[in-house]
Amino acid sequence: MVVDDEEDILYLVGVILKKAGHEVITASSGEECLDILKTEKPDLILLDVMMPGLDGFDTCGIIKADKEHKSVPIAMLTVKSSDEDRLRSLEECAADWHISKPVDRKKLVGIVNWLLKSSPRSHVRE
Amino acid sequence: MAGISISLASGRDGTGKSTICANLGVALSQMGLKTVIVDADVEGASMNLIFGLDFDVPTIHDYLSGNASAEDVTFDFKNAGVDLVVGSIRVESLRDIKFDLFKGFIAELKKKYDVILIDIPAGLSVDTVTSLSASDLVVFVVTPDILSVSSALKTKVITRGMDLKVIGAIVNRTGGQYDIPGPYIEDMLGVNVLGTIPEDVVVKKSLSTGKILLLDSPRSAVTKSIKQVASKLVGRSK
Repeated sequence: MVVDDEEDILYLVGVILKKAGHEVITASSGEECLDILKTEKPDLILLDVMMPGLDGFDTCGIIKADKEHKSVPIAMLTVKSSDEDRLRSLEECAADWHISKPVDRKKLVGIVNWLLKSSPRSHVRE
Repeated sequence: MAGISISLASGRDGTGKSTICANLGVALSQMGLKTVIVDADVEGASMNLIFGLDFDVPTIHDYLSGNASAEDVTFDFKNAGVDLVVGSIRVESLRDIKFDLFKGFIAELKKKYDVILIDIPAGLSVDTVTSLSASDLVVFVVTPDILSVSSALKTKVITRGMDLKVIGAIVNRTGGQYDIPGPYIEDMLGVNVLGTIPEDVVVKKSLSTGKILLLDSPRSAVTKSIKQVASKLVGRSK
């Protein structure tokens, strides 16, 4: 699932991932993402941060607090790329990874494939 | 010309930072640099064990409690060709230490050595931050998992106001099924990976025998990786 309030991004990322052989569903807000999760269980969520209403950090936090979906890997995909933003993704929101925009096609597909194969949180026992 | 102080830091325990520090010090010394290794972990000194020292020597604790000079606590470890400042493992040694003397201590060592390699305590205690403030350069030691990488990132964020020069990261204990790939660790930490050190049984062997790995297993993959990191470090610190 790709979640972003910008249609261009949703389209572009969708095309890239479909060409790489993945099935893609999209949502244009945090609220829509949570709604879709009532009936779908994606293998991975790419989540924008800066969205009106529920932002990506809050959306991630809600998903990770939900027993049914907390194991779904989430990568923040955002222009917010400072050390503080990356730390917030990993520590505050328990995201599995943080990808800074802009990201090239090859890198995005590489990270998606890696997260689908072995998300860094999938085997962590604290 | 004054020496340069390089700290090895990690956000959490278990990254193998102290072992890497010890062996990196030996590697730098083998490159012809007059090197001293300082165990700044006053609550968990480990250089004594790593170097297999079984005798009492003056320690960093003695300096920090005002009972010894810098010269008293720095000694030749001729077998390894590197000088050492070790810590005390006695709990009572912590009683009178003033860690704010640490910066002055490093300044004194800089007059005598080309490289002062500092093994910083893990975590983000006051002692850790004080040790970092005495460092010209910082290298993170991480393991390729999310807890270690995010802890190192936290250290980087929290010490931002200290104007530290973080010059890279060493990824230790690699070769596992779930390793975060090196390029992704670089992206996350915002620093270059200077080298990766594979998980290897020779490390455990060296720790249990108290023999320095670089000297005891000179042809191991770990030794080769550490020497490569040492070369890169020399290049980056100029």
